[in-house]
Amino acid sequence: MNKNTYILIVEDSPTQAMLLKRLLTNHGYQAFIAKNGKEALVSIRQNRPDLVISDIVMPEMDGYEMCRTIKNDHSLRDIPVILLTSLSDPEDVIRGLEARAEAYVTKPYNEDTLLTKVKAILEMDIRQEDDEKLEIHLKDKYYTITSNRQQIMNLLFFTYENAVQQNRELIKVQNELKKLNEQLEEKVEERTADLKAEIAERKRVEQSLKEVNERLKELDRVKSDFLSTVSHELRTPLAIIREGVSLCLDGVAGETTQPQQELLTNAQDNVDRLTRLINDLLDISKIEAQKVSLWRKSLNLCDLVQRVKKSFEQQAEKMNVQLKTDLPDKSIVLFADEDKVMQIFHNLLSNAVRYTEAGGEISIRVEEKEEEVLCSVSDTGIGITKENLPKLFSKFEQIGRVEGPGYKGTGLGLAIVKGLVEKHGGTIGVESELGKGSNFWFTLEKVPFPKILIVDDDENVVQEVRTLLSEDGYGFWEAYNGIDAVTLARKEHPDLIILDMVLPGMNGYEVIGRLKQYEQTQAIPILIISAYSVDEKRLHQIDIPSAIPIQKKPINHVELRRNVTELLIKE
Amino acid sequence: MGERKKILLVEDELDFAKMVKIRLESLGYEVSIAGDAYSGTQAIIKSTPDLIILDLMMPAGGGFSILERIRSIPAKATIPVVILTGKTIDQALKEQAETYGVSAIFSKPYDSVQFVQKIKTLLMS
Repeated sequence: MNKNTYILIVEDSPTQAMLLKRLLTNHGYQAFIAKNGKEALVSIRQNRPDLVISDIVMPEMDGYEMCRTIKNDHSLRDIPVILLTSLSDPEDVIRGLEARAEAYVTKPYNEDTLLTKVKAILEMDIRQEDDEKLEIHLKDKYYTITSNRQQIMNLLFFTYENAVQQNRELIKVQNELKKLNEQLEEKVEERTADLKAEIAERKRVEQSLKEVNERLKELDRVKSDFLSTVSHELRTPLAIIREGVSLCLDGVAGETTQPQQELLTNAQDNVDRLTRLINDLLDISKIEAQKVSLWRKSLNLCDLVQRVKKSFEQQAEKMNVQLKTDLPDKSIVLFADEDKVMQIFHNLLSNAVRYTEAGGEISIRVEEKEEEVLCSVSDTGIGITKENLPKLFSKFEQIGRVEGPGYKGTGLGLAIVKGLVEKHGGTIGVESELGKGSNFWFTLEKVPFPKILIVDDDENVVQEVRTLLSEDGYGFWEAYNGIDAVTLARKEHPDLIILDMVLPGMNGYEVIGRLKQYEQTQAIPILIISAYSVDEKRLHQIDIPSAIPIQKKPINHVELRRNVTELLIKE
Repeated sequence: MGERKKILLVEDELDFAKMVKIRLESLGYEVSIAGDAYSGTQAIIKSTPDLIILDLMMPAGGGFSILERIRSIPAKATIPVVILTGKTIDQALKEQAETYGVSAIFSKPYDSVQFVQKIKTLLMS
């Protein structure tokens, strides 16, 4: 039956037209195409189709006008018309009614819906009769509907059906959206859980890092303890051996023969050698473990050189080596660790004496430069080959050793010297010519002397502290009340504050509290001097990271100087 | 020659203490040994020695704990003290010793010539 059913497609887009034609042809209808309303009317008049499916927006004549024309023509009005519309506006419905179309199909159409409608329309009895006119008011416009009741109902139902269909699709889309939304939420939750796990993991790592850090600190401490324990444990038996040998040598345990004396002297010399080796090993271990802290004080360098020279004079004389110094007239006062600087000179001089032959000469030179002091120890000794120079400051490198009587090196002396010079912010070097001699030089940084703020309302105390500490070369500020103390500290950033607790206005506790508030003053070490006992609990509450040494009046001079030095040590 | 001068040696290493005792007795001094900080402190309180020789690292309190205790007793505050230690003598140790009025520090093993010289000087005054 379909084969004899003739459908006219009115569509200006060739692609759309062909698609629709193929669909209809595939379902057994005969379909033809017209490009616009005008062409369609010609075709309808000639061929009288069973159904017209028409687009609305077309050139020449649009779908409504074409439909109206069909429905106004008595010979054509029974041909049903389906309009393809987007139905985006209620006006579209009115216009369809006005044009007396039988049905709508919304674009883009669902193929099944379209085919169902086509079938339904074709089976419908469509007889157009004249009816009363119906006036409709919509959006400030009047429309006259002349369709019969069946047409109206059909069209409205189709519209309704369309709406339902669209609604269904909307619901479907909504459901899909909901599903997507749920999936999204799940993903967000998953991701949140991941993030939470990640944060927890990070916290865990942080915690374990902290623990590792603590452990390292502990190990570091154990290492330090170990060094001092080793030192103690090794020295005690050595001391017993040395004293035993020494007592025998001194005849305390009875007379000794000449060969016995020689053997015992040999033993004693080697105990001394072992002692030096242990001392040097401990020194180098401390340097390498960065455990050397400098006990910096005012140091008169030329005085120190004279003292070192004096300690070697006897040995030099015995070896017929001349010791000379070349020092500036003006004294050089450094802020340095006396013991360590002494050790530097001592080790260099020991080497020089050891490697210089009789008749030779050793000279110590000191020269003050802009930012550092240049010191040197040169000799007319055996010298060092070029190849050996770079190895010189490494551990256990003894090059071309020519030992003096009874005094053997440890192979650590220069490595220690290098470490100590570097700790003093200096550099070390050597020039040497084989057979002519060597010149070891090093520099010591001229570290500025620390400045101390003295706070006490008693002027006599301020002057006492000042006089006492000025021997050590420090610079000073003075404050006689708490407010001035805080102001001065913030402005000048002293390296240390010596603070009385009983002050007019703002007391010592309040001063400390203030100082801890400001970034530029909170790290300044504080030494408390007080005539009264200090409320340590209260001090603790102000949050002082390290305990503050407390110095009761009257001031113990030795203790004060020691505490000041200790507090000024910067790691 | 008057009364023999009395020296108290506080040292936990008995082998070493014996050696030092022999050395000092050979010089004519009377030497007694205390093996730890507690008996050392007791000995000083009971009978005032003319000189104290102190080890620093001993179990249950080192030499400084003894000094802390006896320096507050006026009658004992001026007894000369010599430290004999296995520790490395650094500036910090020197200054700590100075705070307690220590007369000399020797590290083990000591140079017996210098050690004897110092003891003699301290006991002469």
